[in-house]
Parts: sequence; structure tokens; C-alpha cells
Amino acid sequence: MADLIRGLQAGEAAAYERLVREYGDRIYRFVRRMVGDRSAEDLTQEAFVRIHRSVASYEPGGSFDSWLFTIANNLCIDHLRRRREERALSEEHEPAAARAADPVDARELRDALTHAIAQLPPEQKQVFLLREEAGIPFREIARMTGCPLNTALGRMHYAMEHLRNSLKAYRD
Amino acid sequence: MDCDRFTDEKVLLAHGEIGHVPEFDAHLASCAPCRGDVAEMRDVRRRYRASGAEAMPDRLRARLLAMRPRVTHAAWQRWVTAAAAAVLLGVLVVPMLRSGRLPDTPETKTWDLPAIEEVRERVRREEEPRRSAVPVRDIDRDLRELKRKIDIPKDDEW
Repeated sequence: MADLIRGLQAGEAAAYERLVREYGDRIYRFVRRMVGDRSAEDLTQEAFVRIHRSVASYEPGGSFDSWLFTIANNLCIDHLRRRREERALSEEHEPAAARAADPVDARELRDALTHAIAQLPPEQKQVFLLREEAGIPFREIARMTGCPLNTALGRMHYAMEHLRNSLKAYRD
Repeated sequence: MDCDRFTDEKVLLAHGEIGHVPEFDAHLASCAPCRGDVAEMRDVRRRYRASGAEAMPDRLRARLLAMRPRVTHAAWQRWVTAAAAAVLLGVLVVPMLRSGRLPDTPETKTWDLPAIEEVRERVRREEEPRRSAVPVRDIDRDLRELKRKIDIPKDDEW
């Protein structure tokens, strides 16, 4: 890991390629499940631009994974906030009946899981994905998101409860 | 039962982030619903992992790789290259400069020598009439004229 960071800080193309190879899919999945399909690719690319720009100032000591996913997470939170504001503006002029719920493909567990995660409140979704997709421990998640550890654990507990209920029909 | 007291511990246990906590361990040993909670959470995790092995689209991978830095060498490699270039300069070029000889460069090889001669010839031809147009002074005549004016003796008498 240290040689990857050194390579990135030296601007080596090989190190950057390794970053894309080792973290690209995970960051993409995290972003996609945080924000949904439409913006995930652009946001993932933006995350890599920011990582590339700020890696020179990265100081080894903390977890590199946490640092990477903090950048991706912040981008997603900003995006969700903007989207909420835009929706609030458009909903003022849009009748509620015209808004259809996201269709659920009940035949596929995977789609059901994706849908169930999409339904989570942003704070629960954030903790769930940071733990399950990024693999970051709860103490670090609490630090990253600026909340006490028991709050992060409580959000995870509620997220798990919601997902358990959503998946009850899909026992394998 | 104290099930609600151990919510955090159950989440931590399902994620393998808790060590030995005697009070919680004792509760868990005697509480089937809490053991069920932990098992359900582990099941959600297992299903998530099974469903989440999704790769990014190829077009996104191509976009990310297109942003790779142009520099392909580490800093120490750049320094070694620069040092090698400096040594080469010292060994090959400096002695040539001191001896006044430089190897042929592509520029000298592309000089068109006949064309240069042609230009020189044209310049010479253009200057020739100008030179002949300048009146050539007849020194002897001037001298004779001068002698006549000041009335000095003939050449033999000087």
C-alpha cells in the first residue's frame, strides 16, 4: 500500500492504473448505490480526479481506504443534497400523483436488494455502504461522518432491519 | 430481557468488530431472539456480498484510465536520466566544441551549396555594372593638369 501511495504522489502512471484496478469497482459500486444509476459514472470519475489532485497532500498514518472513501462519500453527499434541493423546487409544481415509485423487479434478489438500499434514508445508506462496500470499521465511519459511534451503530441497526424485512420474500 | 441494551454489541458482533464482553456474551448465550438478530444481520451481509460483485462499465474504466498521468517514471528515475544526459554532454559535445569541430547535423546536410553559389554569382553580376559605372580617375592626367596650373618644371626637373 505504501508503494502505491508513493507512486501516486510521484505521478507514476503505473500507480494510477493500479489504483483504478484495485479500487475502481468498489468506489463505483459505492457511488452507484449511494446516488443511483444516472450520475454514478460521472461522480466516480470526479472522485478519481479529486483523489489524483489531493493525493500529494495525503499523509500516511490513517487508513488509505478511509481517505479514498471519504472523498467519494463527500461527493455523494453533496450530490444528494443538490438533488434534494432540485426535487423540492420541482415538486412545488408537480402533482404528487404524477410521481411514480421506482419499479421493483420482484424476481431478482439482486434488484430487490438494490431497491431496498435505495429506499434507506441517506444517513443509514451511508453507514451501510461505508461498512459493507468500502469495508471501513465503525469507529472510522463515526469519525468520517462526524457522529458518535453509537449513532453510527444505531443507523446500521435500522438499515439492517429495513433490509431484512425487504428481503424476507427472497429466501434462498 | 435486556435485549435493547445490546443493540450496538449485536451490530458489532455481526461485523466481527467486538471482542469478549462478559455481560453481552452471557446475555447472548441465554437469548435466542438476540442470536437470531445477529444471524439475520450476517445473512444480509452474505446476500449483499453475493449480489454486489458488480464491475464498473468498460466505458467508465476507459475514461478513468484516460486520465492517467503522463509522467511514467519515478522521481529518482528522472534524476538518473538527467545525470546520464549531463555526463554524455560532457563526454561527447564539450571536446568537439573545444576542437572547433562539430559533427554534421541534419541542417548542414540539407544546405544547398549550388544554390549558394548561384546567389553569390548573381550578387557579383549585379555589383559589376555599378563598379564599372564609377569613373576611373586618370592619375597622370590629373597630375599634368596640376603641374600646368602651378607652373612647375617638367617631370625631368623635379
